[in-house]
Amino acid sequence: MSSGLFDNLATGFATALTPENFLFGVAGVLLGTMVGILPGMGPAVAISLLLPITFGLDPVSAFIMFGGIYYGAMYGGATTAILVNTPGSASAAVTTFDGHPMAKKGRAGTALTAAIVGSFIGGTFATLMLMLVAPGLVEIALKFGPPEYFGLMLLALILVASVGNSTFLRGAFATFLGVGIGLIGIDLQTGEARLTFGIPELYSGVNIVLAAIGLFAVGEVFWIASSRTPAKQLESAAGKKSKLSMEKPEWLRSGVAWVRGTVVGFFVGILPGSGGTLASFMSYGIEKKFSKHPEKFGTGVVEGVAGPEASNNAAAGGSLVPLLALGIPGSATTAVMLVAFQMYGLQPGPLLFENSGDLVWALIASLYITNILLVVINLPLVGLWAKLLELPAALIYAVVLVFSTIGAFSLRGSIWDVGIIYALGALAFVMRKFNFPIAPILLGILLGPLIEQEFRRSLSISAGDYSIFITRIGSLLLLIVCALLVLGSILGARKKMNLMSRTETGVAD
Amino acid sequence: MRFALNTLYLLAGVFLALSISITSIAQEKNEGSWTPEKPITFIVPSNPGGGWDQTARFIQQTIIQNEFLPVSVEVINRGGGGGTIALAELVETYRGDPHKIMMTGFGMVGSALMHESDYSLSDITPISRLTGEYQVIAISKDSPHQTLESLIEAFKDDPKSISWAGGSAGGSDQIFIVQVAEDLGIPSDSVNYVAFTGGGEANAALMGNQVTAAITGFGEIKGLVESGRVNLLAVSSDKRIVDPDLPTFVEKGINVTFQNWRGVVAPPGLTLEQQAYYVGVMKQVQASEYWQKILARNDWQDSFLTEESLDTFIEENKNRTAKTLANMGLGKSSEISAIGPYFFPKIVGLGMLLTGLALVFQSRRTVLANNANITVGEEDDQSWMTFALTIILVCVYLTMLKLLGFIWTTPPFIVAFAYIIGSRSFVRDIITAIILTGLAYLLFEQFLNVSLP
Repeated sequence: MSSGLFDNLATGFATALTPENFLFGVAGVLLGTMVGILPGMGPAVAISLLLPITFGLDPVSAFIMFGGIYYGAMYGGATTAILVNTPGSASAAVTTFDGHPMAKKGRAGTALTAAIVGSFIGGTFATLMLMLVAPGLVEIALKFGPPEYFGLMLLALILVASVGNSTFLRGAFATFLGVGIGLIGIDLQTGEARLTFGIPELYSGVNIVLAAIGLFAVGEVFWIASSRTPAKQLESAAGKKSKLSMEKPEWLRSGVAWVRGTVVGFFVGILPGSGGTLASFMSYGIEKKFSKHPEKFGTGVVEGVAGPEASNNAAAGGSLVPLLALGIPGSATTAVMLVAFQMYGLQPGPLLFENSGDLVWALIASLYITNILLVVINLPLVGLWAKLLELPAALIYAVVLVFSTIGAFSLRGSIWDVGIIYALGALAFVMRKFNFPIAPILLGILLGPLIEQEFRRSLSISAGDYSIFITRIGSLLLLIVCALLVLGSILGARKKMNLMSRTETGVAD
Repeated sequence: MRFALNTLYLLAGVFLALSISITSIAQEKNEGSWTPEKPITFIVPSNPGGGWDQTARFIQQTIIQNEFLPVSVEVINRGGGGGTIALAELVETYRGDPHKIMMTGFGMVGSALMHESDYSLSDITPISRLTGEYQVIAISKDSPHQTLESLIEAFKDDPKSISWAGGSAGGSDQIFIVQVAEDLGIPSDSVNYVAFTGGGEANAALMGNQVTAAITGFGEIKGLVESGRVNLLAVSSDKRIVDPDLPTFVEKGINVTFQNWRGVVAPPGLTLEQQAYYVGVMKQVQASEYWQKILARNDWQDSFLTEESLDTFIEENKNRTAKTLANMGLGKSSEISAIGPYFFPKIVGLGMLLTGLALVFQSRRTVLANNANITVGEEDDQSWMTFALTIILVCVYLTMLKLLGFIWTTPPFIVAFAYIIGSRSFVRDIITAIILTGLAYLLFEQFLNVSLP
């Protein structure tokens, strides 16, 4: 078995390392990083734009490029999130929490390095797992039914609800508001259009990518613009002679975050339908829970960047598991990759390894290579990116607005979507003015509808019997963890002693 | 000698051209009366990935490989509202535009009815139906119901105990199972249908034994059947077409046939010549070897239909679906769990109300406590002013964007914005604005092929 594995992998590397395929890998990483940076454009859009062009190529070359795009984009989103608070993709929204404060302190280089190395570790681990244990993992993922998804989403919401350093009431209000926005659109279970005010453009709801751009990028620009001291903010950051590399304690702190983020991200990634955004949010929540100084989160701590960035790349790799092993796409990007497979006459699924083993092994080998390329190509660019902050602030923010506008428009060519990002930006501004945290709104938009759908699916499956949530072991365990977390934070708040709350929740599971 | 040769070529050329035009006149008297002058945009009414997207890309490939069009054809995605957004766009924005075509299918018939859309497929120019996919009932290999009889028995005994997984509510999967239930005399509101975001997730739930059965297209689940993870119980065709061992519903005494069809349409207001041109192209697509291979590979039926018979089909399809949807009670269909679609919005409303009230209460207490300290600073007024100005600027920008386009509106917007947030270096700002707009245009429009407003 293991010698077969090495033979297969060796053949895979031989295919992936031909000069031609190698170049496609490089092109993929570059293109992926670029679409990752551009707000709104994601790997799914990039791959679907390339489909007609790649059709004439050998499938191996095409998939090597797609793999590069996927991993590249997952990292690329972090760049602008750190530099200008503009998440290039929804999964990078979390990176703004600590990445941008770091940039403001002149530590953009450190944050970017943490993101790149994290992406590498997450992606490489996910590829390794994909190669070694994909079939077994699929069985575990299939055991996850609607009640377990409900528990998981609830856990994520509770973990992250405490993200902002704000009071409980303000956080709760913002979360409810987010869930409300998330529920806009056609209800999947009944087809009923909810909270749409009869506007067809709202039938599909508020896209999470639009929400991330609107709340964070546009909101930040409005905020900076009205503070009337925009120039000072960033120029002072640039003036601080940003250190590019990481210091030893930061390597240590990041190291732990990378490992945790990778594991969480990978497992969230293999569950169809959850994806990188949830993975990065969960990783952030976990880092904060385990941290010795949770109160510093949000002010620019390196774990807050390292964990989520490792996590979303690991999730990208993880989502390839159900795609390759079952033919089930777990994310927008893998859905497009499925179409690509079918266009080449390939059927992903249990038989893919038998029927097209060469392609699969070349793809796996190329994923290792693209991960290395990701580091090699992007690390030297870190200094250049950090230098960009020295441009006049007024222009930087104008660029953010223009690219956000294009990005929102490019999603489906609708001026409505552009309107939505500005409306959400205005909402974020007003909320910040009244001291409300913004992150819970995004989290509510992301998780609200998922929690609702899984809850109702569970009740449908049990024909209305609520005991389904406690008679299933997985669901029961997740709900117990949720309860302990809530209990822990209530007790912690009561005693106003950070010490207590942390040890309580630490032993929770 | 050379002259003679040239003449010969010329004559041969003329002869060839004549014979081609004669044969094509014989086949399609319309060819050549209208031909497209610029690239054709093929609109997919959903996001990338999924059935419509896939079919459109296959059609695009067939056209490109066989050079069925003298111009290029590009696929763009306009997802939203189960296809109704793209439908409205086709009718309102592209009326009379002969260089737009759109993918359509059963899903659009259903969602247009369900969401009471302003438009239906009757409002646009039909070109052709191309593919059909039959629905199947699938069960996991561990299911106790390994035959249709056993499953139907249990379904009749206690309809709500059987959960059916499929795509979104009102889509082909749900409509089909409701039609089966109707035929069995089971009220449609007792069908315990569990909607998933896509066929893939529904199939995953089936394999994990989370649901009793799944409704899906034959092609979509074929791979899982081959691997032995799931079994199929029956197919919605009238005869055993896709698999000789797989019985039809009809032969099991359930009088339901169903085809999830897909096809191509064009905007309203096209001339007869333009319509005939596209019908001709689609006929070529259908007849090509390339397309037939694609159909076979995906287990799609060649359900080519065009002109009057297509019109009749669409009307019938619409009426039959409307009837099923009406029985289901349209949007308010068969949710078995007691909570319904408005439970969560109510919780959210209540939550916002309570936390909001608590916050008001809290802030009043603080205001009373340090009464003197609360003064709205001048600086605060200033920031609201700037915010208001920015909002006005954005509104103007968005309006102008629609009227004048990206190139002309963006540079003034950048300069004005820079001014609002405090920049006073006009020359620098103007130059940067122009360069930036140009770069963005090149990057998106030319390099990434994303069309700007």
